[in-house]
Amino acid sequence: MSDISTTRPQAEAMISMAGVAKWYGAFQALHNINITVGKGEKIVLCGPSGSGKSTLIRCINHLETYQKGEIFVGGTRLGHEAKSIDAVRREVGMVFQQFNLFPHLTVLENCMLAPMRALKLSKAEAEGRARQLLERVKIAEQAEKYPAQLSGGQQQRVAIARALCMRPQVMLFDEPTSALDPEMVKEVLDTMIDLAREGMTMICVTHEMGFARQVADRVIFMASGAIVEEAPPAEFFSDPKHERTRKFLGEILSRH
Amino acid sequence: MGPDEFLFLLIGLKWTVALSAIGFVCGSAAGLGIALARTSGIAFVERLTAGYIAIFQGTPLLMQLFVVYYGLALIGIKIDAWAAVSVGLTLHASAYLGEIWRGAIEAVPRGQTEASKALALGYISRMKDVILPQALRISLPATIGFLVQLIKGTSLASIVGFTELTRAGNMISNQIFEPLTVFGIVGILYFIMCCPLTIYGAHLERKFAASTR
Ligand SMILES: Nc1ncnc2c1ncn2[C@@H]1O[C@H](COP(=O)(O)OP(=O)(O)O)[C@@H](O)[C@H]1O
Ligand SMILES: [Mg+2]
Repeated sequence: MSDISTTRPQAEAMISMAGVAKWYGAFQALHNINITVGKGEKIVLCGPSGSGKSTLIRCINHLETYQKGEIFVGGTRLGHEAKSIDAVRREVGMVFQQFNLFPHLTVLENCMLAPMRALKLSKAEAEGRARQLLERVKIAEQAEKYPAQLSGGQQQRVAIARALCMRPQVMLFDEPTSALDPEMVKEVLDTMIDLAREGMTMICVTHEMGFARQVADRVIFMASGAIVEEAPPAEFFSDPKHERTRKFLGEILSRH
Repeated sequence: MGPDEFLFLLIGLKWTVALSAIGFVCGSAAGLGIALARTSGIAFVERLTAGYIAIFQGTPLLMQLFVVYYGLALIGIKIDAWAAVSVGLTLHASAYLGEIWRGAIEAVPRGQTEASKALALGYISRMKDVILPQALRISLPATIGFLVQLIKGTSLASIVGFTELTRAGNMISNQIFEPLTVFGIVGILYFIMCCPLTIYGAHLERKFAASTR
């Protein structure tokens, strides 16, 4: 394993996980996870299905609780009490495989809800922000529609805009293109690439290796709940160190 | 049967409507609390409310009304028949609606809760803005079905001496000895209240089934 993560000074770390372990009952889903993500850094997290990628990123905004170790987000220690969980969630946006838009609200209302409730923005401020971000994901003309009236790719772009409306410091993506028809994958990846160019700190669980090559500063490979290998994409793809990584890359690349 | 007798039935009808409304409105408020407690994730609270629901679903409404009416009197609380019946119906409705809404809350996809949490929405906003509007929609057919049961259930209030529609019918029938006519009209009055609700509930159910396909 490269030791970039352990030598990176704490001060500029946006996310740091130290010795994090998690169990579902008797089953250990995460083993001694140590990751440091610097401000503006883009991480691609990959690994076979069931290796714990979702569990890992869901610990960062406490959608899953962890039993050992420490997590810091933007200087805040993520404990298990509501106050720190709340503080961290306001700084961390998340995009899900299944979009999880609110089906009973319009696109605009989806984007306005959290800024109004969690950040106490006025309706006008929230609407201004929402329209601006819908513009940015190129979907402003759909603002008054309901999610069910949009294509999968459009829904996922709305989900990205909805998360950005909180002005998060970090964005987490959990296989954002896996549920999409192939022809819609690109529009979502392009949106993510734009976001990366603007300097957002990102952790993306994805098997889109083209995206990883283009955007990632580091690729982290997980298997059986542990980090097996991490390296810059060029090195990761051309010179994987571990047998499991090679096997995984062989499978992934032959599929695409 | 003359107009006076019919008017008497209508007064009874008025009380049936009032009892149903009180039972439904107060029962809804309490039932919402039950449903939230039932889905709170706090084991003790969940078990307590599960027991509450089991008791009211596992015993006859008539017995529940008796217990409130005579039970309260027995421990020295003297209340009117209508108040006792209202309390009884409210408790009964709260258990049934609580259970219906618990199911509906749990039927809202987990991703909705996760997305709301990820957006830093607190419990109140998560429920009020995201989960309950969707749960209410899911539960509407069952909720209307229960309202129909409740309207018919108010007839049991006659047994503790409360003059709602059924008891009014009974009194008139004893006066004019035309039970078939009287109870025929009583039945039609119940039917006029319940049938449109049943049809509306079935309509919503079809609409919901179509939209989730
Ligand atoms: N809620 C849960 N309860 C029990 N086991 C779970 C739960 N969620 C995930 N797991 C298990 O944890 C492991 C990691 O899951 P996950 O993080 O979803 O993997 P990935 O996202 O890499 O496919 C899997 O073996 C999965 O079966
Ligand atoms: Mg996953």
